[in-house]
Amino acid sequence: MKKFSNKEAIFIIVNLCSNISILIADQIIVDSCYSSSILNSIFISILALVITTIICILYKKFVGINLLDIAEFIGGKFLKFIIGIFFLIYVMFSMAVLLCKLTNCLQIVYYSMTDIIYILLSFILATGFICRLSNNAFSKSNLIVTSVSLIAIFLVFIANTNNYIYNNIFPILGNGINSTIIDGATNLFTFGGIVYLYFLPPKLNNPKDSFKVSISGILIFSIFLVISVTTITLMFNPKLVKGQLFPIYTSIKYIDFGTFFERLDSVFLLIRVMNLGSFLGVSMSLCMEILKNILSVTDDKPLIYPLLLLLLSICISLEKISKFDILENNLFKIIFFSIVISLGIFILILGNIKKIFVKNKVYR
Amino acid sequence: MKKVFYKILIVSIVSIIFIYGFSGSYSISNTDNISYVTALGIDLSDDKSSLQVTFEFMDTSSFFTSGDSSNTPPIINTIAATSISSAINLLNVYVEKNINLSHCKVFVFSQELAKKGISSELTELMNNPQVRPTSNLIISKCSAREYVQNSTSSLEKILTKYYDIFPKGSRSTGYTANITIGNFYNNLLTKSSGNLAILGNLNELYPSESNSSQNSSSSESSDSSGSMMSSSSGKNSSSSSSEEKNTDEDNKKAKKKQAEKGTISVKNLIAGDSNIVGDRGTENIGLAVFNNGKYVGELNAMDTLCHLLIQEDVISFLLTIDNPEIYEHYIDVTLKENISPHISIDISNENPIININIDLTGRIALIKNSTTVPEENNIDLDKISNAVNFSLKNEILEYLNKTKNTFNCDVDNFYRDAKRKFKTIDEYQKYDWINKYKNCDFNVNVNSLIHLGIIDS
Repeated sequence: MKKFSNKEAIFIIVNLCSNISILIADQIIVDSCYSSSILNSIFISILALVITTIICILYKKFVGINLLDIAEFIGGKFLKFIIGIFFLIYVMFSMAVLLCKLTNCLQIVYYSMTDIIYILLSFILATGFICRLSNNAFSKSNLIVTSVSLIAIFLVFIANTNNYIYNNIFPILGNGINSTIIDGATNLFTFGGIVYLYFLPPKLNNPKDSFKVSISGILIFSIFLVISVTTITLMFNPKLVKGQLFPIYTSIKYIDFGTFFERLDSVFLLIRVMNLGSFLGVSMSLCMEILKNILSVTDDKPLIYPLLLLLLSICISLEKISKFDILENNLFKIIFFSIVISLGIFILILGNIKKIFVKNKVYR
Repeated sequence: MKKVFYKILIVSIVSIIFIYGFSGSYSISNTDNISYVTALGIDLSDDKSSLQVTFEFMDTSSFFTSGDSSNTPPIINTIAATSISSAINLLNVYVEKNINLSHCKVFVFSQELAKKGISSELTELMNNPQVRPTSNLIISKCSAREYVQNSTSSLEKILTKYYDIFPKGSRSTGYTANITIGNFYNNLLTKSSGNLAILGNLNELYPSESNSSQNSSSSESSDSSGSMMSSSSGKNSSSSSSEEKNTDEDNKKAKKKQAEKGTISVKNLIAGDSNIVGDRGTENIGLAVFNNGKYVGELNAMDTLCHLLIQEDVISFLLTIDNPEIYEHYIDVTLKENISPHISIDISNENPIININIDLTGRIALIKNSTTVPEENNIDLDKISNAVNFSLKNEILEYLNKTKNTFNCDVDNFYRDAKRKFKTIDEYQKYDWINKYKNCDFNVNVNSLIHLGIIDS
């Protein structure tokens, strides 16, 4: 198995988080916190850094192994299987929700006469194709695509300067301390890329760098999150942020570089499509790895077909739910906190406790 | 060999599936099947219960024949429908092409409809992903159809370019503003503020205006039974000699009217009331004021200038002082803002106090009295500066009191500065800015630094 360089690993974490942020979370943050959105994004960034540090500290005793190996160490193959299934559910759910969101947007803007299933299929087939290629093909392309996406968001932030209403950040506490800090902490689900931290160490060229890589990834994304939330907060009335199209895309329509550059939104949507393709590739390879681990198979390539079918079925089911926004808002948060944060850290703590009692065991 | 065959088979099947799946969208997105609207006019229908939607298209056929679209009159279609979407639907059937609003530069609403409220129509437009939020919003004192029909200029013959340019010129005059549909809608959702749109009207002295309006009214009356009207622009030129004679007569009439009107003070200048005789059938001067999505009044050119000064949205402007009580000579001063206006709001008292400091710099463009031009040595720049300060302060106060007492809404978005004083939205809402604004006091301070003109004579 080819391993990732530090840079590739950092940008994988950034990609996983940035897709959740742009397609879903920015909207939820601004909608729930109003004028205190920037404050909330800074707060959840600090919280994410703290959690990442905790995860990395708990991982110190398990160099070069992933969470499933730790689960096996604690409770044997059965626990490994259960934990694997839970993480599989989270990754598949996040893939399906983001895919549905972008395909809906594409259908509204460009493919009004095309059945959504064809748009979904085009993404799913591309994901299958990426995953059939060599192991780190997606990680190298992700490095480029995510960098372009970060630059695009920064340019959107700069180009919209004329449209900003700086007083939109007042009242500074928005709906109150409770809404910004306590309820607002649930917006931590934006950092969905934390899930990758549990599976990252064995994939790194130098597993000892996992702390550096994790912190760098979360830090870069935090800057990205604050920039994107600031753009939306300073531009729109929070009531305008709700809707089918993601607000950063809407903000690009306001950019005016005279009559020469007029359709920047199309370019942005293309970058978004590439970015989501990269996200699906990374997430699907993670699913394959989880499935390979819990089923103890040697070749993971055949696993891709049932996973793609499962993804398509979840997407079609989600499309049939009219209150899709409420689902993404609440279910995404619940799954993130119960699986990625609670279950993940709980397993790491148990692993550390057991490690104290079983000192001489070697895990590989 | 078998593997290659299967690969080719799979690729072919997938390609066929996608060609089938995406062909529907391709066929409607194909440029051959799309008609791009350049301006959309929305009027209230005669029965006052539905809308009359006017679509203006560029005649693109001239691109293919001569490569020149400059002299081709636009195509105008009007449809009576219950909503804008249903009007688009009907027109799709009529023209047998798909109507696309992604190049629509201007949305014109008639004053009559605006008085009833345009929130639902704007929401409908903003819900359309083709609509650009940077398109301009105009409230027409005449019918939107008439406005669209007459909205061309021989100075800029390409219609789309013309729509692009005209609102931007406002930054160097201050007599109107570049108000976009996106910003208007964003403000509409904020209950704390009023809202403004560009005010447009037919040019009263436009030589063939009488003809065009007669033509349009006759065509409207003849078509009133149907729900759809179609015509080319009201400026559609005809070469017959009798019409040339009519045009000459119209020109004479227009000049006579202009002479009767004389010069119009900026304070009385508003769209449709100017004394401009030219080749453009419409004019945009002043702004339309909205409260809760309903038209409540209008700002004249001077009010608009005051609004833009507070908003720091005017690059330079000309101020005329022609009042011997303020200054003994007639003066024209070109002014621009030195720094952003400083606005502070004091909410410690029962009624909020809004403090506005405006810092200007300018040059004398003209100074004269009825008989002689004063010598340079006799010009007291401090006195002129005081006159400018006094004059502008009075104008701004008069404008602000108008927004407070007549319109009962905060069109200058002072609420944004007021929000700074509160920690939470709840506290701000309890303060009830909308009602407090009606009783607020204004402190306006204008400081200007005046220089002599470029030529010292």
